[in-house]
Amino acid sequence: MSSNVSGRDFDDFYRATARRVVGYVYALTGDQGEAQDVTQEAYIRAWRHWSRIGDFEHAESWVRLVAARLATDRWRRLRRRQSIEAAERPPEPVAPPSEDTVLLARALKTLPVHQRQAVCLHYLLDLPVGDIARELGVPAGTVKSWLSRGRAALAEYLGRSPSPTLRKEGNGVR
Amino acid sequence: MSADLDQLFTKVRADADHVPLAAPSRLREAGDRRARRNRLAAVTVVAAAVVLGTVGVGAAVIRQGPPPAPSGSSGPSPFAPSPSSAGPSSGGVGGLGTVPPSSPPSSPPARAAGAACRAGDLKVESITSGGASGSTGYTVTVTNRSATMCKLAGAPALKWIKPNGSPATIPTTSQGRSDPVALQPGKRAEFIIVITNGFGGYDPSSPACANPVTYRRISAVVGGSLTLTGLVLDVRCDGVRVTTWTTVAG
Repeated sequence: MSSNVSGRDFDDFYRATARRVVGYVYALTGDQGEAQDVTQEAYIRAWRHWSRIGDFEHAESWVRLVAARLATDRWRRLRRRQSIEAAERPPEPVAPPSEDTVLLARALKTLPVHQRQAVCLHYLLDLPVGDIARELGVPAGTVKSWLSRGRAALAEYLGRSPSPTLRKEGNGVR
Repeated sequence: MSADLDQLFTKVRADADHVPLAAPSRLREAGDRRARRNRLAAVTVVAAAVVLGTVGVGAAVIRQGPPPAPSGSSGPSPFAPSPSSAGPSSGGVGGLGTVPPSSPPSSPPARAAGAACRAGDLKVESITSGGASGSTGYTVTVTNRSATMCKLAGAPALKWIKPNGSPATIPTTSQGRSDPVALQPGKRAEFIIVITNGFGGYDPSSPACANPVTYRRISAVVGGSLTLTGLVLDVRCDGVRVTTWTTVAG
């Protein structure tokens, strides 16, 4: 696994995909620090199994799956709680998210996890329904239903809390 | 999707671009370190099993989780890890490492029901590791092998033996409810030791990583010393957190 060749492959893969993955996790969690942690952990795991994943056609999909599960599993919840309670972790110097991002993250959090994943994969990463169905292991019809419901729920939420962008441009979410 | 929502997702993409990510070489180093640690832990457990087996006290089993996908798989789902077993310290995605502890040779004498549990009342059933994204948790499960109910209160203190042979207390912070747990005979209870996995997303030069230490020969203090055989805590950043006792169903 640690050969220079596979290391270069992994580095190329990471550079090509990490921004998409961190955007996905960010949309799922609404938390920059968590998006950073989860994304890096997912790629560490990918490297540990790189001899097999590296040949895989959809390695990015593998990383996204791991990241999505990390974002919701019990250890992460435990760690989040500890971080909040102990306030041990110095915050990274990161630019704060825009008001629109905060608003959309809040709206996404109102969706069930799978619906949220489907919406983010489709609208953030531009994945077609068939790819999402394969990634989430459900029929395409289910994905379409999730997207439809998710869209409606987001529109309703955002209609109640219009974003600065939408206010400025004088249009609502339809 | 309306153009308005598209605009909002565009903002998310732009903000995500500001999330700092480590260089790929750093992630590879972290993964390699973890792999070395797991190999060492596996060797330690096997060696302990051999020793225990020769004296007839016990046997050891290393249970590994499912491996990642075979190459050439058509999709990620068949080898994706389960959320409940995604353990970075367990040797692989979805893996679980179980360290079988040694068992005391005989039952302790009966005591009044409701007293605080003593180490002799308890048998360590398993120490399993699991975790994700920066944290590793070691779940220590014990059984009340005495004939009476006893109580476990708070989070147990942890001790270790330093390389020079002297015992010392591991600095810990506790988490969870402080109500005592009543443990009936034959029933199980557990607590969890949580540490940061590797650098856990920290910059290695940050103050939180200034005092790395590897704790070995660890025991829990429960009215005496309860040996946690095979447990090694490699703490690079942050401290050690211990949850309070909780009962295990079944």
